[in-house]
Amino acid sequence: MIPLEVILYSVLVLMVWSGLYRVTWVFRIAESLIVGLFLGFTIYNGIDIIINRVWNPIVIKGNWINPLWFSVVMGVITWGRFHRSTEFLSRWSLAFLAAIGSALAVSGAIRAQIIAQLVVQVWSYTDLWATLNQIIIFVTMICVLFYFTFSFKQSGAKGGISRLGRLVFMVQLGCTFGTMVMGNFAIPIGIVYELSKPPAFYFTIGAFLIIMLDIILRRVGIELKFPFK
Amino acid sequence: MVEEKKVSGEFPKADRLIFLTFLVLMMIPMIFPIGLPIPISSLSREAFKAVEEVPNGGVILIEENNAFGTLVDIGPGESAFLRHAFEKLVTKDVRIIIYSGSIDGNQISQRFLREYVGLPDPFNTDPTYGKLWVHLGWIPGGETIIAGMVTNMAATAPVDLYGNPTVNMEVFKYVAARAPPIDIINGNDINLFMVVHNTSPDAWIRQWGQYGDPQRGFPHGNQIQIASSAQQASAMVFIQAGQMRSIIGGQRAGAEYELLIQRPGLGASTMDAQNFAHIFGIALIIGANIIFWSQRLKRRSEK
Repeated sequence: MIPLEVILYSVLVLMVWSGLYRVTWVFRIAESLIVGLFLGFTIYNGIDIIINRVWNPIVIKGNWINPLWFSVVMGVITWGRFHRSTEFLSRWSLAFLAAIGSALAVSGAIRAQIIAQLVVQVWSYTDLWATLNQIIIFVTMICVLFYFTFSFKQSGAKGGISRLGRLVFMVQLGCTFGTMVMGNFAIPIGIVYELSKPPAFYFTIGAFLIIMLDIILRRVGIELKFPFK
Repeated sequence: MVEEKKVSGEFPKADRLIFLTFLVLMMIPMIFPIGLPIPISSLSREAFKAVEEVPNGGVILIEENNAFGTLVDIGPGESAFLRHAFEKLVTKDVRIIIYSGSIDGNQISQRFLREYVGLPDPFNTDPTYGKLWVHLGWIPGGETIIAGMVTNMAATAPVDLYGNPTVNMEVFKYVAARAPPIDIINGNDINLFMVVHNTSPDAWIRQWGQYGDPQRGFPHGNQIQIASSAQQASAMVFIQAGQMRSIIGGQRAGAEYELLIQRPGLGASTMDAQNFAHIFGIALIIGANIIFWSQRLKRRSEK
């Protein structure tokens, strides 16, 4: 038996990739289907969470006195933005979330992303490369921090340090971008691998034949149109 | 002949040509495999070693944040890691706690556990579920949840994937009793942290970086991340500083991990195509630069 999941996956991928040949109703249907499916999937999971983690403990199990009420109230007031008179209420819950998030991130960042990077881990005469590496990390870290400090005018020697920080930052961004582009190659490769195996392979052949047919028909002046309105 | 009309959203011809050439090139090594060797990097070896070093009865905490868009890039490393970790569940009585920080990750982890680890559907029909391992499902909340999982896990995840209270589960009771305070699961109860993600590695370093496995020489940072290859550059500074142990970056590292556990899968099968893709990518960069500079020189000479 052919799994429905494989059929859906391969047909949708081929429909989307048909856009590389020509943007037609096949591509448009796949485009809308994927957006709709993902939205439906997100809503389903959201409702599932509410039932599992809020409705069941409070209503089904009868734990009416529950700290979860705080989350419920905070969640409900975010919908205040749907009406002008209650819009301000939604800012409370968002501010609460932003405050917790920032507090956690900032306190963690100082220890993990600044202090830990400034501590030179290895001072070793036997492994000079490791020591050199640590010194480079230490110096460039200072330079990048300098570049992002806007409390003083970055001119003269300070400007030089700042420029070095910018250069290091650019190297890091370039490295990340380059590996991201190369990493993104892996995505179509994995999909091509799936499409080259049966049963998806038969759909690939089918798609190829349809495109060939469309090319020939268009040559003789016939256009395949959307079958219904 | 049908007249060509400009359709909104149509890709530029050059882009279409590049993508089509790319897809055709990728098909070649899949039809005629070359079988180039896959050298295993020190990072993949270190990740493998970290799982091997989890002691008998140790605990692995796994956060799953993979997305459908990056499934084929990060998936090989993730599936190989899950296989490896669950082998330790059988051979070393290791406890595994899994949760998802994203909607996609929740579905992907469940699919991988069924397909690659061979667990039944639903998981709670597995005799070891709740005793040796548990899936806590999707817990929305981002970094707050990451912090909560190493501060008070039962309060952060009061129910599992099926709505069962976690405090009553054997696995939770066992893990909580490993280090003081004995009724609360915090970061000190965990031996190895693992996270699958397609974002920046920072959040897990901030919240989990200080925990480790002191008895095995890792007072902090006994953490492995499985991420896209783009994150490898960002993660290296944390590895260098001892805040995390290793990263399995992208499909390539996933293939290496598959070879380490001696179960070649999607990653290893697509490595020839990856090599072709990288050569194609480099050729595009060189070609684009030649066109750019020749046009620039031409404009200058015209002036």
